[in-house]
Amino acid sequence: MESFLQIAWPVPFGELALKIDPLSLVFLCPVIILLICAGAYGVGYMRPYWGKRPLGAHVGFYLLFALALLLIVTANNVILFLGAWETMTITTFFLIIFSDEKEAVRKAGFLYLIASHCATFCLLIMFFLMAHFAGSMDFTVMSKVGFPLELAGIIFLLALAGFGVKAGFLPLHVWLPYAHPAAPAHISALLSGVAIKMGIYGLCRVLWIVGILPAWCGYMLIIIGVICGVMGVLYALGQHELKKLLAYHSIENIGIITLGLGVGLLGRSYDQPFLAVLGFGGGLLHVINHSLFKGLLFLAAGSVISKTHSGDIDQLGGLAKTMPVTSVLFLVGALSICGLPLFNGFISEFIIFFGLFQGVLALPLLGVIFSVLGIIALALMGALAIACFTKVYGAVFSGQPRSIDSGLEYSKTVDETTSIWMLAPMIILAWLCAWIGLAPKMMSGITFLGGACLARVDLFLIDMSRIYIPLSTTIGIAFLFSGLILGLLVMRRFILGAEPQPVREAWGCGFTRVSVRAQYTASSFARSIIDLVKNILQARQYGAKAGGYFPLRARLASSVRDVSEDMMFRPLLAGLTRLSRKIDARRVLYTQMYLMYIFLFLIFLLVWKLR
Amino acid sequence: MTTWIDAGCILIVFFALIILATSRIVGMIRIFVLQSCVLSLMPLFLHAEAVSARDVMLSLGTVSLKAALVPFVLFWAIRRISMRTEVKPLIGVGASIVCGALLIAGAFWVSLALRIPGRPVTDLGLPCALATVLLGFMIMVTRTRAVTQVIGYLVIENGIFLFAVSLFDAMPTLIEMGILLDIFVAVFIMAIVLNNINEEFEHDPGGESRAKMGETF
Repeated sequence: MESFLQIAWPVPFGELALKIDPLSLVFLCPVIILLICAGAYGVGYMRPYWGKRPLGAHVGFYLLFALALLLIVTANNVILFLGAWETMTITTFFLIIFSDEKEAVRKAGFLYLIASHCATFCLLIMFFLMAHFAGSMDFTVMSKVGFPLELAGIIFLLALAGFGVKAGFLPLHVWLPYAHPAAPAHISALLSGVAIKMGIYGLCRVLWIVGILPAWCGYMLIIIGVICGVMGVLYALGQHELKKLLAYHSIENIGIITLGLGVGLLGRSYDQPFLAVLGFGGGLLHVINHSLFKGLLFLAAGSVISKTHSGDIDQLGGLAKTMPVTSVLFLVGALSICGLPLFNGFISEFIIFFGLFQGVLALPLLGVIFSVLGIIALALMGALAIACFTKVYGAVFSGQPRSIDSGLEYSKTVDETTSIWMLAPMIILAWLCAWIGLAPKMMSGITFLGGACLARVDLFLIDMSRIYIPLSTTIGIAFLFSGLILGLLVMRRFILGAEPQPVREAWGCGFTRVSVRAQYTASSFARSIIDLVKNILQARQYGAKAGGYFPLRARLASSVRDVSEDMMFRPLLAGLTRLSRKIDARRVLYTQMYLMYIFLFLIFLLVWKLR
Repeated sequence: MTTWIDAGCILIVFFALIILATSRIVGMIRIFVLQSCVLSLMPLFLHAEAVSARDVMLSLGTVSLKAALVPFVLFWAIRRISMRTEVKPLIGVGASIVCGALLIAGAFWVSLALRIPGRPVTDLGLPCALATVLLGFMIMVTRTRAVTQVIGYLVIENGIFLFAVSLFDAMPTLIEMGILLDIFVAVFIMAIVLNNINEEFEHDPGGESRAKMGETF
């Protein structure tokens, strides 16, 4: 089940040791698929820049990034892993700041770089703790060592902090909503589809190495999953920018994955192998699924933005008529991410749901409470995701362009002249989404293998038909349902004939000459939900006071504040700045003052050493 | 013979304290010369029964470098930039002496607990060396002129030299030679820097910054 490659290497403590086990395999799938698809898409997407920008550097960093990703998932040595990890971080930085003439892009890249390096700090400590205890830098050797529970807990917390930044766990996700919109579309797809998954991979690898963890770790993962999932999708609802919205959805999906991992970890802690395999396997399948559909969504969003030059959902509209193929592909991605049957998101969420229900049956009381919490949260996420993507699809592809200034003009010019380089990857990804959704046996088989590897059980000893039978039943019903819809479509065509139907304005409600500004906007659509939770989201509205009988002008703006950014990191940064200002003010212009500091420190060392 | 060495150690610390309390640069250099002379006599008393050629060489080297060459360069430097008086020290003379006394007490207290390899020649050697280093540092901290910084640095070096002497049997000559070379190079560099500072200020037509001339950075 495992294959090794080992080559001696002059790097101290390092060794070019590669290993492919089921866990690596699970992560290799999305990495390879998405690297190829996003690369091909990039060829088309970057065409306007040919000859204007140094694309060679971009391609070079892309290839280096690809190499780093492959090394991360196959590395079997701490030094090799960390080297590949840093290479990925730095190449990602350069890929993000492709449009470095914009200040926002530079800031986003810088934020990403800082966040990643803070994370790497935790990782270094964690890995060296493990290596110190195990007496080896080799992952396989480490995994055979029994870590004491306290140390395992510390390692787990460090892994959460270190890998959590990359994965985008909620309080640590601040870089994510900035970096994703800043990067070119295919890079966003890779960031969201693969790069943040590397955080999940690292976490999984640590769970694999440290075989016995305290029980609270599983509960903690479930809580993180619930918070990430629900808050991520709520933040996404409040966004007005297409790629930023998708970025927040990544946080939601990371939450779902973490929820699955938490269930698996609980199963492992309480010695319930079936539950463990279900949880880990479901989480890992969602890793693959999320890479596929989020990659697809980002690529489709990139097509939209490259055609309309606007990512503002409140400005777009009516693109289903002008970009039919892209619109269908986006719809496939949206249906997948919402976890609706026939598409892949459903399968992984179903397995996680099944695991949670299994947890209700098999776990002690505390586990039951957390399982129920997980079930409620997962259902809530699904519902909110549907609301959110109804908003996105409705606003971007239905109706009419909402902006009078720029919108109407592009609706005439935009057409489906997207190059084959851009369309083909999206079609492949959409096809894969549907394939996993309709025939999940192969992919789920691989992820269950990965799950069993994490759960440290033999998959052949577990009766997996307990999950496959209900799954196939559900898919059967879904098939029946889609057959029904297909039948209705055929009937419609049969009754109405083949002649083209008159095109009416969507949501026109019978009025023919409605101003485009009287349409629902994305913000107004989401408002009913946002209002329910406005205290959690710190949602604010400005303006919207129209006075008199014939008001000429009224403005409305709404925004959602990211609590962890605005209430944790910004005050922290402000505090740090204040502190350094204060120190700066105390700074004396004399060299003597510095000498005195050295002097005092020397005396301190002298006295301290003596005690 | 130990009596002489003890007396020398005490004298060296005493001179360091006086340098700390002196405000005139010329006075500081002169006292430094005295301190260096005392220091250079120390190797002669180390081996009471027979004064070896090595001791004499060391003594002569120290005298010629620290009591002749270095002061010469320093005097040359302050003549070049025509600066005689020290500006007010950052800490007053009285406070400096009190701090210095505290440092000496601290050095003695610390050296009680300090364990050094080999058998020291005298019990006073180590605390006095430490006290001299600390006082030298204090000089560097409290004075603002470049030349006084150099003097503080030289006093530190004297302390280190005293430390080496008090551990004579454990310390190879090579290291002592290294210390001497260090001092020479350091003073040489400082002289060049001072000279450059001077030339830099001579280009200044306003002449306002002349008052600050020689002040460090």
